[in-house]
Amino acid sequence: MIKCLITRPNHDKVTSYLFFWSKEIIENSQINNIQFLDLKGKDANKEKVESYLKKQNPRIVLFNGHGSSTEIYGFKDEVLIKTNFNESLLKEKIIYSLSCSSADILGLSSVENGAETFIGYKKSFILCTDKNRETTPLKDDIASSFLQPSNKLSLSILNGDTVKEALYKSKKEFMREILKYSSTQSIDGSDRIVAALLWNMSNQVVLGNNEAKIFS
Amino acid sequence: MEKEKINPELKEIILYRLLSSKLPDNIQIAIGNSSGESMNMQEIIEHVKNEDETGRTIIEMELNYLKALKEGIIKKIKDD
Repeated sequence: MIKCLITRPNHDKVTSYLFFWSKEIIENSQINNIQFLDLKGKDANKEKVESYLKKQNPRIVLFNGHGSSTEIYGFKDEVLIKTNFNESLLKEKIIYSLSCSSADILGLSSVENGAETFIGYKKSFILCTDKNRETTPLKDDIASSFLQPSNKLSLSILNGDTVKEALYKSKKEFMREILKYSSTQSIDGSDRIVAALLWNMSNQVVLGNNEAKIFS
Repeated sequence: MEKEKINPELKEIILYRLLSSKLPDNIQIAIGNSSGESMNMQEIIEHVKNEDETGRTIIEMELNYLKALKEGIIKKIKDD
């Protein structure tokens, strides 16, 4: 059984959206032979993340939350992983960080310190939402256009694809959404949504081994 | 480190585009490394005018989009 550590803080609107949308990964019926170590809400803290990384040795880690070029945050923006501090805990793992900018310095540093692959965003991840759907994030079609491509990447890796294949599928999903909003029948002002989707797609990168996969 | 100066003409173009945007009020934009809250178009415009971190991200995002339009979005997508 492959172990997957997933962090899902939910202390503000953006993290709440990621909380609900990442649950779709855990509950996906097509995922087999994966044991999820689900650190949700206030459990997405540094102590538990470090403990799980050391004692459970997950093959893959999915971080959801805020971030910066040198840090990944958990519940109430507690620092979980920080450059030149504890990124060596990610050694030999595949990491996908759905958090702003963490592929910039932290991603490189993680790979230099032994992480097999770090997938993330070089710059801010932008999320468009529908104010009328804030209480039911999974019914928010606008947010879906941003978070489905991200989920596609996680699900592809968890299904045994290589990181390279997963990235291709994720970008293809972004492309599908961009083309949808580029059509003349789309909503007014949709070029703002296209700009944000294009931004996320352009900044999604793989560092390290792009042939990595969870099953050997 | 001193922040890179934003070209005033480019900033004007971006502001014009945002001011003339017809994006419905119910659609909001959140930038993951800021407060975690969403902004409407008017708040985004204020950030761009102030050239703060959020405003700079929006400017960069818009320039990326304009560049993609110039090069052809499909080509940009294929290159990525």
